[in-house]
Formats: sequence, C-alpha cells, structure tokens
Amino acid sequence: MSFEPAKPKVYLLTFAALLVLTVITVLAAKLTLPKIPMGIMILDLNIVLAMAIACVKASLVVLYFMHFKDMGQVSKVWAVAGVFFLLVMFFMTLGDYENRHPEETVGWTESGPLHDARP
Amino acid sequence: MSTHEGDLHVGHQFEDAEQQLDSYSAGMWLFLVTEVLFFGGLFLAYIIYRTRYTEAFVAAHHELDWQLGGLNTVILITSSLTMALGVRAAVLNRMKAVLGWLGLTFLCAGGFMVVKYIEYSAKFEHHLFPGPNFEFHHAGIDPGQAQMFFNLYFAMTGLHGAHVLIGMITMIILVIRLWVMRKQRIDFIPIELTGLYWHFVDLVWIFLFPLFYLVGGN
Repeated sequence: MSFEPAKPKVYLLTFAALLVLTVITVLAAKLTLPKIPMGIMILDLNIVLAMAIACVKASLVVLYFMHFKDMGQVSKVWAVAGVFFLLVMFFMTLGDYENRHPEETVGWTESGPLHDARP
Repeated sequence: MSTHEGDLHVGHQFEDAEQQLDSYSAGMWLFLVTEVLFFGGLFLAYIIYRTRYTEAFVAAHHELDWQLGGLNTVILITSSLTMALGVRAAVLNRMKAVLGWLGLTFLCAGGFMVVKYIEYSAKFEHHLFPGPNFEFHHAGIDPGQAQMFFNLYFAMTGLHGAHVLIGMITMIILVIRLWVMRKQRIDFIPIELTGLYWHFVDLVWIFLFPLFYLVGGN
C-alpha cells in the first residue's frame, strides 16, 4: 500500500460489483445443473458455478479492498503463496481420495465410513 | 518525543516510513496465509463429504434460511466497504471520519452476530445441533450424513463467527488507541492491518454463503 489511498469511487464500485455478484449467486442457485459422477465422487455443476462466482468476488476484495496492486513485493509473494499451498493441499488430498479403492480400506464403503465395520 | 504533528512515527529499525509499512503488511499477510490454510482444511473436509453425501447435503441445506445468510452477506460486504473507507481516512489523517467509519464497521459486525444468534438458536430448537439430541427425518436420507452437514456448518460458521468477534475486539482497541494518541498524526498502520484482517473475514464468508445456504440444484 502506498501513502496515497485510492479514491472513494473505487471502493464504491467494488462494493456495487460485490452486491450484484451476490444477487447473481442467489439466482444461479435456482438453476438445476447436471451432476456428473466421477469415480466415487459426484461433480455438481451448481457448486462449480457458485465457486466460480465466489472466486471473482474474492478477487475483487483482494485487488481493491486489500489494494493488492499497491502492496510491497514480500506481501505479494505471501498472498500468492497462500493460494498456491491451498491448491496443493486440495489437489493432493482429492487425488488421493479419488484414486483410493474403497474395498482396500478397512471400514470404508462406496458411500463413506461404516461405524460397525471395525473388527 | 521525536514525533511532531504531521509526521508518521518511524521505528528506529526501519529505513523509512514506506519500508516500515511494507514490513508490517508483509507480517500481516504471512498471518493471513496461515489463516487461509486453517480454513482451507475445513473447506477440504466439506468438498470430500459434499461429493459423497450429495443428496443428504441438498436435503439438509433446506433447514438453513438463505435469506438470513444473504442478509449477512450484504452486512459483511458493507462492513468491508466502511473498513476500507476508514483505512483511507486514517491515511489522510482525518480523525472524525476514522472514528465514524470504524463505528459503522463495528455496528455491521454486531448486526452480523445478531443474525447469527437468531440462526443458531433456531437450529438448537429444531434439534439440528450435532450430538445425541440430533434429529433429522427425511425420506431416503441417512440422518448420519445430514448430521455431517451440520457438523461442518457449525464448525465453519462458528470459527468464522469467532473471527468476527476478534475483529470487533480489535476495533475497540483501535478506538482506545486513537483516543490515547489523539494529539499526534494518526498512526494508520494498525488500522490498515485490521482492515486486511477484516477483508479476509469477509472473503471467507463469500465462500461459506453459497456452500451452506445455496447448495441448489434440487
């Protein structure tokens, strides 16, 4: 951040865009989009759309409210590292879940853990 | 006292005011990274159960009031705007404006907690809090899977609510600090850092709202 803050107009426009996107999220949830089975998981396109809108909203907050552009270099590195390691955690864990065969894991069934399956 | 009115106090370990600000904000961002990963673990748990218990999650989310959730979304977005304007006023050394914007942000945060209280008490009354009293009757839905939805709901919104409370306490401390140092140029760094924290709290809610209230596609 620099010592010359942005004009109030920038903040008001960001605020208006966030409100519009909130309304779009609510309307998008009224649609019934297909659910695609992927292995033992079900990919629900409704949630994919909702998360895409949420990512746009999150970007607006970081770019304008948290003034990403005017941040110091080290802060920028941290911000990007946060997103990067979050994605590493998500993809490595989900890849493991997706490729693990339930029948090989004691106590697990197709739909999840079984309480009475333990020896 | 080396600080005159009109100058920002620069700690002796810093080259200049700009380096001081960059150092403080880098520290805050590092803290926010740990927060992203803290909440990230819970989001990951949500994704895993959501993709397995899809039907139960759709059935269970009808127990949540999306209008109250939407109201809270608008309240938090508004509070982010007032906080951003408060930080701006602090940089420009406008004391009254800073107090006004921080006060409005505090009110929004309080409003958010009131709505949360109304929602939580309704869930307790309807036996939807996970535990021995949990009851969920819906044809073809395993109550255990619906309970997992409410486990995640209370864990994630509860942790988020705790962050809102901490934000409110921080704003009280900021106002006390402004009063104590009222004769000097406003030290905007603590306000700027609280602003970053507050926008992060808003950011988490932006994801929580569609995940819990707008499961959709039923």
